Amino acid sequence: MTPLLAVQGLSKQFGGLVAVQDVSLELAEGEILGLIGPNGAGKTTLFNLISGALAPSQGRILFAGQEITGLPPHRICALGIARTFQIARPFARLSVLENVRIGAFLRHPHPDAAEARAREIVARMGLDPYRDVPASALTTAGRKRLELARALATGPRLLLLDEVMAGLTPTESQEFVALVRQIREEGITLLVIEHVMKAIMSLSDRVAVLHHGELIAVDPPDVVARDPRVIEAYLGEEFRASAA
Amino acid sequence: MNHRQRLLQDYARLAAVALPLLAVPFLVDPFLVSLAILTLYWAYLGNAWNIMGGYAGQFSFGHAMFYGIGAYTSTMLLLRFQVSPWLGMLAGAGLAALFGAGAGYLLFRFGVRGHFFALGTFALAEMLRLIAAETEFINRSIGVHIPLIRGDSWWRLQFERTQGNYYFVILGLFVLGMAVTIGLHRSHLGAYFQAIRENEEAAAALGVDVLRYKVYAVALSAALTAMGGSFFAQYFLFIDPTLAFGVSVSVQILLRPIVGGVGTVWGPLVGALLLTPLAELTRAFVRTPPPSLEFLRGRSGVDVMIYGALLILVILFIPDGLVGAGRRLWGRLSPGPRGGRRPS
Amino acid sequence: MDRRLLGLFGGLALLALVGLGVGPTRIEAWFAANSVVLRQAMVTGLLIGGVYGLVAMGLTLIFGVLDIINFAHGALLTVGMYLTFLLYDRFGVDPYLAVPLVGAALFLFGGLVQRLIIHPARNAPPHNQLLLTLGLALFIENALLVAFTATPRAIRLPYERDPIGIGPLVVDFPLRIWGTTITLPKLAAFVFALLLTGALSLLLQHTDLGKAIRATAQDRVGARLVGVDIHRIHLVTFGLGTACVGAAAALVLPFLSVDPQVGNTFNITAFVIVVLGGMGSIPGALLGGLLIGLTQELSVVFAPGSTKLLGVFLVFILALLFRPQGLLGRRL
Repeated sequence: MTPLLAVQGLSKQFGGLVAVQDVSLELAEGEILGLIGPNGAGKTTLFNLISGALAPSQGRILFAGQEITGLPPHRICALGIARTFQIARPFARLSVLENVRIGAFLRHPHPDAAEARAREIVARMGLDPYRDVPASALTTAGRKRLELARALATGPRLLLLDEVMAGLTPTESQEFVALVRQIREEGITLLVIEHVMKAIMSLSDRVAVLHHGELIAVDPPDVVARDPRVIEAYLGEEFRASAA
Repeated sequence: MNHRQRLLQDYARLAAVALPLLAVPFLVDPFLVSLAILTLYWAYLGNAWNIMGGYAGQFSFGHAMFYGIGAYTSTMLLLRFQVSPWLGMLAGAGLAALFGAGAGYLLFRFGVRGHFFALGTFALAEMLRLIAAETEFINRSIGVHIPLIRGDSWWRLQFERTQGNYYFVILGLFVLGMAVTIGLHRSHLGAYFQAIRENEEAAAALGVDVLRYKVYAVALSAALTAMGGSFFAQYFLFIDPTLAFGVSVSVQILLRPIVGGVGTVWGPLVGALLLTPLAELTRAFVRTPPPSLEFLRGRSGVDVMIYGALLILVILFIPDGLVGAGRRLWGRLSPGPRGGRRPS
Repeated sequence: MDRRLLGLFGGLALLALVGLGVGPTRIEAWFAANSVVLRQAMVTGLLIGGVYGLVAMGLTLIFGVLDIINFAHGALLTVGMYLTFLLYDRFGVDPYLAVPLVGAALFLFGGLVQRLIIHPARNAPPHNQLLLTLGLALFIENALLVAFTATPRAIRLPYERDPIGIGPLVVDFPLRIWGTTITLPKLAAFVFALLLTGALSLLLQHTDLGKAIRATAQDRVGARLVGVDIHRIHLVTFGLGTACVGAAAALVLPFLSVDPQVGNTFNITAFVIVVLGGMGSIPGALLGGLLIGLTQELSVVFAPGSTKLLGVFLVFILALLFRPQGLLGRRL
């Protein structure tokens, strides 16, 4: 079976700085793949490459067997890859509903259909009470939900989540884990960058570890947690701390 | 409420504003009619600017380029080829849209944004002015007169006897422009424009072809602005490079929507309702100043000086314009959290 | 980037083709016939370019530190010119003596403007700040129109044609070198403008104030962390920027008549220079000033009958498209 997403030998240099180095990765349909690594490991750069915000220096990206390397972001989104931003980028002066509607227009050109779809997603994300307030009025947790809601509204097959749980309280991130699981139930494949170790380990089918732009492991969570290279590179104290 | 109902409601509001206005030429004296013509004319132009500068957030400092293209196109077609200004207006709109799309595409494609985009549009308008002043075909910097005709002619869009007809023409244009904005405001196009204004990267990540929609915004705004230029040429019966492409045209065009409220449907009209009579009052004041201000008699510049001061005050104290300030005040006065849609 | 270079080379190739089409001998003949005009244009262009550099330096300084495009820059120049005119007309103050006076006056005026108008809107979106300075420009320009009417005013130096002795050397004015004519006011403006530009660069490089200004330009937050009073730096920088136009105003009045609109051309030219030389770059401003001075004068020679600004705008659009970071990038 063709993997939903295949990244082949992907590299990105900024000037002399190597941000992503020869990364190859495959995602099966319906999978949740966690992506971890220390700060500056190149996780967000990898997202930017897959979503088309950046063009790779070398390598190819295939989505459902189709080459998407170097396509502009809106084309990639139209093909079925949606993303969230690490630092939420709400359309500040538009209402929450209007924000989500922008995403919904992609598959529902008629305003009524887009609005209905947007309402549905807003309700599911628990944003109903804030439906008509400007997005600038949301709290951090609210903005994270809005990011996710907007991305979902584009009707993706693959969803890239960039630290949607960072800065949330434990209760809030538990709710998020439940949300993400539910999204997978609908048949959406997920690639998730996360710093909250407990969440990522319980959520992911497999975990990929980036270190200095290189992929050093792609394994089930329990294997990754025991992998000496990973512990060496990154997990070390942090994982032991969260396991304790 | 579904989309169609909302649209109908907005159009009903527009009709409620526009229909009573039809009576104006029958009720007031000619001076007030000419004031009303100017007010609607500036509201119309402000609305056209607002599509690009307000909704799509592509701040234009050189809208005179589109305006001038419209003014010269209809005028030259009329003078050289006897084409009706109505057709000339459409031709000018098409030409301005093409020019705007081309210029916009170049600037956007090369990543000219924010400050630099504003400066770029400014420079383009100035270039057109300088080129116009050197072009023999349009009589260089001397300008072009549209010959007077006796009586009224709808075909030639010239009314010697019934000035009020100009009023109906500009009222029609104004309603057309507002109808376009309302349609836009309620459609995915308008939503995309606003998303681009708020955050281009986020919009692109949600499947919005940012470059394409920015170019659409420029083309649409350019076409409407050019039609205003054609109207002015027919009303004033004279056009020269400064009247067509001058900096003051660009400034005047953006002044009303800024004062009224950028990116709101009614902002340009509100701004025009305030500023245009203000300008006329100032001019009247300078013609016959009170004794204490005798030195102002006949001096030009007072009106624009007031514009300048007003612009500063508005930006400093009500940056979202009169409509925005009004909304905030309304929000504070009305009890409880505001449910339902935000008013347009 | 590749696309930009491609465009640039494509343009050059096109020019070369046009050149071949016209024919090398005809081009040579044209140059021979116009050599004096060309030389004069180059000299005049360089001389005025020095003043443009000074004006642009003020603009680039303000942009580099406050991140504001000051649309009122030209209008402030007009203020400076009227001030110089009044000083000369009422009190007989020599315009070159007026350079420090008008510079200081404009420094204060600039500081006032910054505190009253720019500072309160420091967190507003960029186009609102642009509009603020535009409103200021409209206000100033038209206040001057009300006060002085549109009649141009000029002054004429009584010693404009006197010979000047430098040591044993006596120089006659207007100076004739290399088949060109150089008048005293233009030469003086050029020399003083270069001196002031140099002085300001030294100030920025070597004084504590200059270091604080550069630190603020590079990293506002960082500068605050190491104890720089950002608000004061903004005030002083804006004042310095407007002092530049004040000095320039006094320098140009002996050869340029003043009317309320005179600043517009300078304003536009300064924008072009700043974009060309690199926003926030002091050497870029000077280099850009000289280049634009040349472009402006030469464009009249190559396209007779056209206005000086046409070539300038062409350069501007090209610079925006092909080298938006400017010739020298941003280095303050």
